[in-house]
Amino acid sequence: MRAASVQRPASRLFRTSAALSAGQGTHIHRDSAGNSESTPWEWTPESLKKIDMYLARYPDTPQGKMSAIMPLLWVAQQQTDEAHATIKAKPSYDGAFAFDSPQGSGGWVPLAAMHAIADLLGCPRMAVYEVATFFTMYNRNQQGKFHIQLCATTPCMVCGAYDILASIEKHLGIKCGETTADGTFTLTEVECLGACVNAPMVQINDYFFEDLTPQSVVKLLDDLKAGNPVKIGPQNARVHSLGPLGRTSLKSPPKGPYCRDLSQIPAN
Amino acid sequence: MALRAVREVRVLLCKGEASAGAKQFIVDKYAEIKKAHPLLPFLVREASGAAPTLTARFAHGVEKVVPLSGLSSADVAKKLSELGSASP
Amino acid sequence: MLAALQARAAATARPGRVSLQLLHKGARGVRSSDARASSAVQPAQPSQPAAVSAVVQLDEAGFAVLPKELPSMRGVDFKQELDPRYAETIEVIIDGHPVQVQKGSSLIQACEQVGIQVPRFCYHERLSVAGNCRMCLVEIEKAPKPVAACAMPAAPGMKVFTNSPIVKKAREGVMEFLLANHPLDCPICDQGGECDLQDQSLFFGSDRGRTTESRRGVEDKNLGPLVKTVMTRCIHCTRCVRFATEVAGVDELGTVGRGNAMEIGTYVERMLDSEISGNIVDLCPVGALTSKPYAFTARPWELRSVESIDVLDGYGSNIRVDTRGGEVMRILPRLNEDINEEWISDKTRFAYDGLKRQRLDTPLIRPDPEMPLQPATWKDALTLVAQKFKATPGARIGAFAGPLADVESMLALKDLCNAFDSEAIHCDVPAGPLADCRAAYTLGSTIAGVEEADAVLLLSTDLKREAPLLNARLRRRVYHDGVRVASVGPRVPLTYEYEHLGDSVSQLLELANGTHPFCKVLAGAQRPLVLVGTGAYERTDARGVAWAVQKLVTSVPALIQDGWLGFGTVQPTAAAVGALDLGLTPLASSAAAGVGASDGAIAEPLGLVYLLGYDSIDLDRLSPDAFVVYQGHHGDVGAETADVVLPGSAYTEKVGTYANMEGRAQRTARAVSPPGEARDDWKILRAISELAGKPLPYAGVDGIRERLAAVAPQLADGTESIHAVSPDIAKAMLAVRASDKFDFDTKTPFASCIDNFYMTDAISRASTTMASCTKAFAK
Repeated sequence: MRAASVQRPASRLFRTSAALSAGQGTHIHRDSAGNSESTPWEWTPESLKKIDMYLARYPDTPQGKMSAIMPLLWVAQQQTDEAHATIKAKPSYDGAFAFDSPQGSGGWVPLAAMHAIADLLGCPRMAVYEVATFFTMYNRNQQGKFHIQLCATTPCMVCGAYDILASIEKHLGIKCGETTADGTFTLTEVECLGACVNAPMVQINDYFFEDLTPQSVVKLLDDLKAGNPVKIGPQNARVHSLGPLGRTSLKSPPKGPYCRDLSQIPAN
Repeated sequence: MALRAVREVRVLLCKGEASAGAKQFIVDKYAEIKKAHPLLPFLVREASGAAPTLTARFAHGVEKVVPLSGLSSADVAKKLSELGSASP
Repeated sequence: MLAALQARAAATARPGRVSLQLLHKGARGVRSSDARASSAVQPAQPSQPAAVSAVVQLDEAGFAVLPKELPSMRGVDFKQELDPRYAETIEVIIDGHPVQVQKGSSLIQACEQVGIQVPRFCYHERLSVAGNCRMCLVEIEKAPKPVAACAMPAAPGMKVFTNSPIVKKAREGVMEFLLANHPLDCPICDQGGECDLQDQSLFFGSDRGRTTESRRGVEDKNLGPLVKTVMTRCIHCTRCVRFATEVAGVDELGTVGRGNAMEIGTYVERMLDSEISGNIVDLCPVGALTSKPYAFTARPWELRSVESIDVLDGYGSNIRVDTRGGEVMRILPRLNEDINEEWISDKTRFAYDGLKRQRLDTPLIRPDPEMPLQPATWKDALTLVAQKFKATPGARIGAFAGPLADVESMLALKDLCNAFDSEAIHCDVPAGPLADCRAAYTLGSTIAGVEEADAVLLLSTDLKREAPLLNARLRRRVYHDGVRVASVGPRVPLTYEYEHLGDSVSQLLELANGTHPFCKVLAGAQRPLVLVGTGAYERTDARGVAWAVQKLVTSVPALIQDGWLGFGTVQPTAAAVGALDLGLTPLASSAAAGVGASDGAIAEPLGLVYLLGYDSIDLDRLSPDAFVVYQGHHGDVGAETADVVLPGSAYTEKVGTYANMEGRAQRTARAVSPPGEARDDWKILRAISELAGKPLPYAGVDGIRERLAAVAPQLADGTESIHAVSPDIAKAMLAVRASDKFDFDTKTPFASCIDNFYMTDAISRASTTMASCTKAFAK
């Protein structure tokens, strides 16, 4: 089933997948200026606290310690996620959720961090490389300040995700998988982010920006670059995932939980 | 024992009973022989299936071979001294 | 090619059945399920090939019709060969036939035991089970789907079908998936002709493909100058990863990414820094990992194979020399469970191009000390040498046998020199404990016996470079059984954890006196093992070190007991044990070369120096009027300084006996002819003896073997077995130590005798591959 504006072929060559998700890097490490074996890496005190907490969960054996590779990679990624604080999240409605600490999607794991993890756990470096390359959530290349992750799976595609992609690419002047020259934005295409009702949408660092149009996404990017406060969640007037007709069911609070107290069941 | 003229002694042993005497001779007397003649090569080699022999090599490659099968340790000692005092 | 195959199959297999086994034997012959070798001499072909049929006759139910009696491997009742610990058998029903298989084997092993080869890519006998290729699927009755035979243990009463329609369909499906992403590289791929993927798709795959999509491409990785990688061909069996991690101890290879984008590589560009890295070329079932020096040079069906022995180190690995048109094209390992299993070191594998460079192919005479060497005839050269033998008094004749000399030529050399009243026949071994007792210079526990040790002390050895395969065996002991290894010597990475006790003579003295804490470990072990590298004896205080080693060995009773001789010297050269067995004298120290006597006393300067492939001659110690004769196969240092050069044969060009470090005598075979005028070494010496008027009492091969049987019967019986030293004799003879006081050099640390693993002898020094390895891996 194709939407009219889709320009891509129905079948895609496998080899292009890796390129489009270049935020995660290829499966070969290439040294670059800030990312080589000799780049220094120091854990911050907060990271060290988290590391202790994670290590305490696993047995102190060589195999056991290797279980800590995954959380420690995330700690490293969180440590490098500095851009989070710059997104001034303006809640669009009561109770909209905003993170108060970096979750990690804007960060990345340098090679030096992987080596530090291997040294800390006493495991071969290859074990850490294998885990880091297996999961796409670990970014192995430096991201721009804002990591735009565009979902282009079925519901979003049908609702025009590729138009959003084209608009972003035109506005920023980069192709999917690349970072802008000033290092502000990295654009990658990712799998379903689970916000299908609010398609099309993007995730920038840890926040979802949903219900996009080619124009609103441009405004969003400009606001982010300028450091203005941005509304997270739907970029139009929608509240949560409400449909266009508003709430059509569950209009009143539910009746009491009489089923839970069996003594309250009426005789019939 | 006088082994002046001998340049090299080779003792070949087999694994079985036939070399028992020769083995005992080596175990008992090797230290003594070596002390008296520290520079004399006294090669002891074992091989299953070999016939136990004692070979003394003199100058110019002349070798005298003595079979040791079934001999006792004392007999072997006697044979060795015979070889040592024999002229090449 | 098919016709030739069918003709061969008709000649040796049952009529009407083409044997997969034969196909592999002709091409690669190194299958793990090939020849279960004992230490006896192996025949060139298996006596009974496994009967896996390609042309299958089916009965009505669709099951394969197999003979009433399933042949076991090589026609031998496998039960007799089993270690009694594993002799228990269970019954499984394979293809309708109830058979007894070894308890604890997996289905794939059970099928092999009865002669059925289940196709596989990722399973390898010597590596852990991965189970990711899915090619070994077999059907088990009442199982919902086919199971991987490599991972399923055989249970009593299990009914296994290896040729049912489901299994056939599974194999075709797996093959189709593997080929879907596999590039169409056969014409340019070195593995063509000996490729598991080709063979198994021929026998088990479908005859047509359905792929219309593009195939994935993968970047090639740089693993060093030895292994060529074309990673697009990789089928991700992970054999190389498992070998590198488990056997070689190198954790650099791994699988990065997942799914279609998975790549085998080192992630960060790194070379495979292991002395046995070349074995992944054998392991790789496809052409992803191939030999870089061998790339694009030959096809396997053009090659003729000869079974021989490697002489570039003291290990005695069994090899197969593949030649084409009189040229050695490559060297592959041969199975020998007791020595090298299925592996060979990189030097053994890749130094063969040194056989074609710097070769001596004509006799040379230097007419005048100022002039260069001139080509001459054999007659002139031999006559000149014979004259010198006659003219020089015995005390001034000296001979030196090099690291690649075979036993027959060393015997002839000794006899020749002895006939001229010379006692100064030396070999390229530093003097350690007296070579009167064989236990003083051989590996008493034998190589396979090293796996019985439960505490190991290494002395002055870098085992990883002196005997990499022995090191791999020790690694297995450390990680499978937790054996403690301690080392007094250079602090080097050994691919496993060991305790480094120090590198000075003081630690050795403490161990010898029993005051070192590690003595308790040795004393408490049932089968302790002390391995001494010859680097311990290449020192000024070598005699003192030998004294201390003997003291240590005789002070721990468990080291020399009935059934276990736990003392071994790691000899780095192939000629060492043979030379000492024959009675050649070691050098007092390597610096004494050129002067003679073994006890270090300065003898008369030599007038006639005969070098049998000996290139470590110390030119400063030669007297100016010394007449140097060099007999060898490479124009190395020795030939340059010689007055007469006599061209001999290299190890691939002669039948020679070499004793490895355990004292096992093995024979090389003649794969190619020596170049030009070169001849067999011992025959040259025989000719000299005849011209000099004292002909040696043997003129043919039988004659010299008879003489060898008289001098050193343990090298002559041709059974490739080890003749162990009796414990009483070893104890009595090793207890004899000089009682002098020694000056120990506590400042010089114990070092390894090997400086550069890739260049240790004339052949490897002449090899360009070894030169590029030295450059690449130089520390």
